Amino acid sequence: MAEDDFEPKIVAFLCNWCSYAGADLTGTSRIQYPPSVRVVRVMCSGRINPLLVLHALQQGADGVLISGCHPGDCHYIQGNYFARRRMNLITRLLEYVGIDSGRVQMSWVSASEGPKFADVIKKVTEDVRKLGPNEQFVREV
Amino acid sequence: MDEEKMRDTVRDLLSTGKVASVIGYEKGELGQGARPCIITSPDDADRLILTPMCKHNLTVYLTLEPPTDPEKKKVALIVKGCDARALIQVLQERGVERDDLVILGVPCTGMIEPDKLYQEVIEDDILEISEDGDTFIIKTRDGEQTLKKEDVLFDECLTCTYPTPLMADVMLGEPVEPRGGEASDPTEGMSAEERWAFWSDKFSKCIRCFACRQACPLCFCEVCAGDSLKPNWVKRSVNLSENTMWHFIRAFHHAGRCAECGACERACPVGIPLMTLNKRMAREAEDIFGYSSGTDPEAKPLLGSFKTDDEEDFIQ
Repeated sequence: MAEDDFEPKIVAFLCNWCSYAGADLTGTSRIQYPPSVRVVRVMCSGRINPLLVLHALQQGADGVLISGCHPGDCHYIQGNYFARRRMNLITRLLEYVGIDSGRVQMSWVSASEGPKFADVIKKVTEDVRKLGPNEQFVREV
Repeated sequence: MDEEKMRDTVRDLLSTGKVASVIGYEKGELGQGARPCIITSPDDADRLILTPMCKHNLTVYLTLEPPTDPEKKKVALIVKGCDARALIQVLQERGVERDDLVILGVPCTGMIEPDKLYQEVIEDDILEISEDGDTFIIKTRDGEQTLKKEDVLFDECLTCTYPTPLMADVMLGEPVEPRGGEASDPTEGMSAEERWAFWSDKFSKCIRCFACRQACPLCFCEVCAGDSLKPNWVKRSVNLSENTMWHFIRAFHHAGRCAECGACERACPVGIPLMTLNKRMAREAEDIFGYSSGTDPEAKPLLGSFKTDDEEDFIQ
């Protein structure tokens, strides 16, 4: 498949209080961003079990984005700090085993950062588009 | 390794009723091999051995089958350096109660990898193995043979950082200095594609017997993510996708916990280099978070704690 024809499927886990509201603001502000993203709303980035990320990749997602509140701004005070540690380790594990780094990305997007959310989605989509379809350990049906 | 002191201590512990059972090693049925055993009578103390063939990590028996009878909860356990690290980690996670344990620490100079030994000497010919500095003296039917330790020890033992148990009620022997070797990584210098080729080849051999999990003293979850049906992280079919998922789960769940004893790799029937993955994750935990597992029973678990200034270069 040529790079241009490939529209990546990206699963985005967004925290309810910041990133999801940020994504909402992007929409209400009429800012355009690629339609590649499938949003899963979770209550906190600290709720995202790293196995969910692996599961998404296994089910055929080309990329995964985890987004939460900026450090210090977590609605549950410290959830995003835990998420930061976990995601750091899981991305390093994936990279070590040779899963293309860039498929799993993380960002901090607050409820007022509509334009930033659009930028993040643009960047993740471009990164994943360059990598091509995820074929590494997709579940055999 | 002080065999006599160990037997005396065990005899004393059992006869005074300080513990209900002792987990140790006895001579295996064949050759010079050792096997784990659990004794409950002071008369059996003479059965126990301590040789360079005692490779098993006995900490696993504390969590594999914990005694249900409260009268039998008190257990004495023989631990080497790496086993003690695993035990400390289990204590940190409240897998066992410290008060229920009597820890007999063995400063360890390394364990012999049987496969390496039997390449040098015929298994059935060996009469006795003794240690002398940096060599093993193997008494065989035809005479004596001297083998360098670095040729026959497990790879984990050659790079061991904690040969002397960090926690023990009774220390059986003098402290041992770590060898200080650096573990080699077969994927060193490989590109991402080459690494995936390497690991997917290894993972595709996996038959998902879960021997790695059963051998691991730290795999004591009541329901393993590998078994869980709801959510069904790993499907039952054995193929590269599900195997890879299992190995990711295993490696990730041991990040910042692994005691680097090598039990998983020894248990693996298809020879997947699990310790390479484990060591990599341990190194990451140390590099990024300055966290070394199994050193402090009061420390907080790596992923159950955080610092506000943790690394976040990877976050947009």
